[in-house]
Amino acid sequence: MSKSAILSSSIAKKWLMALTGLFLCLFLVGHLAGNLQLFIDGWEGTVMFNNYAEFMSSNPAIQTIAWITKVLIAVHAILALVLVVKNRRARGTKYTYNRPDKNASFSSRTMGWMGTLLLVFIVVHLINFWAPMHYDGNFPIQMSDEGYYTADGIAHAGSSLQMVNGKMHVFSGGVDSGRALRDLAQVTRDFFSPKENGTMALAMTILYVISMLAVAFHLAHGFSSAFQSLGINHKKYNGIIKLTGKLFALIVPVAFAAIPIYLYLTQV
Amino acid sequence: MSNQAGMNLTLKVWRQKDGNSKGKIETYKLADISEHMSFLEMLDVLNEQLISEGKEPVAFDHDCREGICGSCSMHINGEPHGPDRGVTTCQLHMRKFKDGDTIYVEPFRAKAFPVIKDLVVDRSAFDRIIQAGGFVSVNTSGNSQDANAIPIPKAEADKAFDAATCIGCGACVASCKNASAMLFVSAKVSQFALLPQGQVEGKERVLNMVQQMDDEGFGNCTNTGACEVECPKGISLENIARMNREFLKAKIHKE
Ligand code: HEM
Ligand code: SF4
Ligand code: FES
Repeated sequence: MSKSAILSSSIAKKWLMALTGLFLCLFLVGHLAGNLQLFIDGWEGTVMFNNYAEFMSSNPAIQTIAWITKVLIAVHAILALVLVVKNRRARGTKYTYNRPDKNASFSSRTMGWMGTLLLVFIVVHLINFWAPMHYDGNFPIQMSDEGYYTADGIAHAGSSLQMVNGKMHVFSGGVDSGRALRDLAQVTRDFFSPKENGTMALAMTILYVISMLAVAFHLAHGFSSAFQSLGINHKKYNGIIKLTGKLFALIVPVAFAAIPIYLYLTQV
Repeated sequence: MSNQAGMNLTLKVWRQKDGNSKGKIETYKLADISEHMSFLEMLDVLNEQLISEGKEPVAFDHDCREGICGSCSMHINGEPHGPDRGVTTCQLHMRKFKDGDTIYVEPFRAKAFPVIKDLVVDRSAFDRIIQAGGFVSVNTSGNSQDANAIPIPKAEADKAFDAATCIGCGACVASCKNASAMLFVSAKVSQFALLPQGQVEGKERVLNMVQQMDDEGFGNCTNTGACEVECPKGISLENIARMNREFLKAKIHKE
């Protein structure tokens, strides 16, 4: 049987939806763990977060995982679109009077809508931070009284910046000391600071918080649903899977949402 | 007999001449309906009233009127088989409604269940899925075997029996926002997959039944669980998980 024939089956689509969904749940945990460093204020937080970001964006293993994540988001979203369209068609004529609230949860009935909101958010979020960090040659560089920093976290006294092959490098005494350390911490703080970003800071804080609400609803159903899709349904474990799912859907988005709220409120 | 007056009801019933015509909701008033009537008896009263007015009676499917044939398919006030749990329409009693209520009655909606007339839909897609499941090999070798010759753990036998109680009513499809038939198909897969006798043709069975289910145009399960809530026989979502496992096992072995 050809590959497309495997994917044409409804159950094969369920497996793929569940596997990509659970992978994205793991991604969320990793992403959150790193971002929580933004709660550390001042220079200490700046150094910690920027070194972490530098590691994440230069380590080949991490970069591979990052690209796999983007591809799997696309697979998950495209498959979701195919399923939503097929499922609408499967109904045919709509009911004149229907009470879906009587037999299914709100979160389970809104997977497509919350997912769409998530997709929009993911694109906006990548444009906000990932794209400039990777493709903007003039991205701000970490500096202190001791001068500009190179990617290895070392400050170079009396240094200056110069573009080499589209990447910013630190030069001290006319010598290239290596790639410059990008100041993602400050860029993120400024993004959510009304002093630096005006009303956009508030708009973005609201957008980020609403998007995390979408994550909460998507995972309130999605987390445990994925186990069912993978054929894991057993009296002994259903309780713990459901509970873990609800806690996951509560804690992860709340922690994520707390970051822009904190950055906004501490900088008003 | 109590001498209390019965209920006055407003019925909003889907009327459709045949599969090719456009249907619409018609409104009917019914007076003095006893709370002891079943929903189908109430419809019988409506039809007598319509006939006496020289109008076409409402066509609806029914047979056993005791909850075992699964033919009395209708969507009542937004739910298949109405607001009660664990019952078919023929077992739904009018005491579940109040005087003055408006009740919507529509056919089960699914592309794979085309309307034949009024509330009657064609559920032969289910028959074709069952057919796709094929046969079960039984060695008769001239004599009939003792029914208990193969030991089966009690728990497994019970689960197989629970799955086998599915009456093919289609409420799972009607309630599912995706019009998915997975609860029905998984019950039919499970009743054999759980028993040793079902193993011989097991892999073919699940692959063929799922293929037929997809070909009939049913939707994809998203685990909302509406089917389990509305199923008159309490068929569990566990069966869908089992079908998903059986399907993967069969795919891996077959290719
Ligand atoms: C980080 C982001 C995301 C995570 C963690 C995530 C997670 C999940 C999980 C765990 C499931 C359950 C799978 C199952 O029921 O077997 C799921 C289902 C679903 N997701 Fe996502 N998802 C994400 C993004 C998206 C996006 C961007 C879209 C839409 C464009 C989307 C649309 C859907 C839909 C429609 C379903 C239900 C499909 C089904 O059950 O068959 N998701 N998601
Ligand atoms: S699984 Fe339940 S709702 Fe679906 S056809 Fe069987 S008895 Fe009816
Ligand atoms: S008429 Fe047989 S189940 Fe209702």
